[in-house]
Amino acid sequence: MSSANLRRTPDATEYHDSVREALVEVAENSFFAFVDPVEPEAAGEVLSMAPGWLQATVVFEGAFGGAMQIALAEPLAVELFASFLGLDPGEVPDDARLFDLVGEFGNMVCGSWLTRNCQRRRFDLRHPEVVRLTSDAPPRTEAALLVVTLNGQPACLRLTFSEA
Amino acid sequence: MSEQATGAGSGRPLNILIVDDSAMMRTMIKRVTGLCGVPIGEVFEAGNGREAIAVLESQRVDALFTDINMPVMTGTELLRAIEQDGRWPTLLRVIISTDGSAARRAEADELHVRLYVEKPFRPEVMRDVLSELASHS
Amino acid sequence: MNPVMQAVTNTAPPVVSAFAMPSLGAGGTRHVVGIGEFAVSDRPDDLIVTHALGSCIAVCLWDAQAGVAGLIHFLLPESRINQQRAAEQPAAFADTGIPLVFQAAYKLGAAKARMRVRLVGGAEIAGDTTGGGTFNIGRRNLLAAKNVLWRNGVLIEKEEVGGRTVRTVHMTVNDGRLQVSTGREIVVTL
Repeated sequence: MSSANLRRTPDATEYHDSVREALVEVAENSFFAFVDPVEPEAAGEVLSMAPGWLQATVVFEGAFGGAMQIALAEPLAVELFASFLGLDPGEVPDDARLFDLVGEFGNMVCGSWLTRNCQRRRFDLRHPEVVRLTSDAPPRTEAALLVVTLNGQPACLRLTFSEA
Repeated sequence: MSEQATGAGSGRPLNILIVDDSAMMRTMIKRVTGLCGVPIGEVFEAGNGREAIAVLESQRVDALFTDINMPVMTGTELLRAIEQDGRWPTLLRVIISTDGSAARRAEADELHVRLYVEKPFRPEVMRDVLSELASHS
Repeated sequence: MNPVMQAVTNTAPPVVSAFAMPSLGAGGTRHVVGIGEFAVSDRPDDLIVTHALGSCIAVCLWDAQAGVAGLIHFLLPESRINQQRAAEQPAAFADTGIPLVFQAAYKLGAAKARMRVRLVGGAEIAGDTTGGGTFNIGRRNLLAAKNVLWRNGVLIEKEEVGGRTVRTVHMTVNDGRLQVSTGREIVVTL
């Protein structure tokens, strides 16, 4: 059997636990936020509660390539902004700073996960792209690897791999 | 050509250059420099390696904190350029990156990086880094 | 002779060799901080003590130059979950309580820039109901304390947190030393 036949596109579900660990590490160390799991049957309802979303997409390349998408309920993103910078919770940033923060959150989760899974091999991350999703177009639960709450507010994570 | 950084002299405040494509990350690190109890002089910022070189050429910088993955010019490219240029031999170099892979760390060793900080990090970790740098000045 | 000491000598090695707690200075006061309380002192002979640190967190302050020490023992992370209780007992919560102990220390001459801050507690204790049954309350308390401190521009010097044991803290005001113990054993001195 040739080595080419052994290469396969990874299955994102295999990485559920390591992705969750990376998310918890980032949430706790840089944002002092507690991550709670959401039962799959409750995910749709939890996600529907958010008035809007900010979603970061981080493309990675290396031993394997793909993209991680992290969507944060917008009130959560504002709260994490304050926590990260040590500001009063009531401070609401402009879009430029808020999008920067959400992108950096995604960057850290993706990078932290890749470090855990590619210990000896290097990887490259592209600059995160951040968009605002409206409440009538929330993240799709069927595509999500992880649905959690941070400090009681919803977040949704999706991981896709490029074809091998 | 600006006056070269001779490395911070004993007791002289450290001039810091923070290089990261996230302005929020730069702001967070800058906040720690004001709280760490280490004498800090000026804190400069750059969004990529090319901007960082412009700062190095015009300002006295004692310690460089750089991310790796950045557009225009990456942190690795920046560190290689500094190494090859030779104008900043005593510049203290710190990598701050989500990439903690063995490959990157080996690369950092070759580029005379003094400390490697993995993101995410607590503010106290950055304080300890600054204290470590100050003790070598 | 003290009958208690005599009994111990007869049945076991002297307590003092296994468990030498910081002693109260002559004329000093022993401040015992209960759950949801705080204390500060600028008297060098004083001792500040708190017990039953399970999932709760003790935030311990010391300004060496001013000779001021403080300690708060809080049990819940955020006051918004029970605003009535927060109004009655603000020191029960991280966000309303931690600023109080700092402000009390400032009144005695302490300064934020000189403050050494240490955290103790935040364990996961089976059957601990102080958090109202909330899962992982110890870890939530720890994150809340760190968030409040960072927001207020304070960095933490040391921590003795997590795990699964209930802790006691003795803090001597004259040198700011913390002795953290579980049962009869001194675990660590911070």
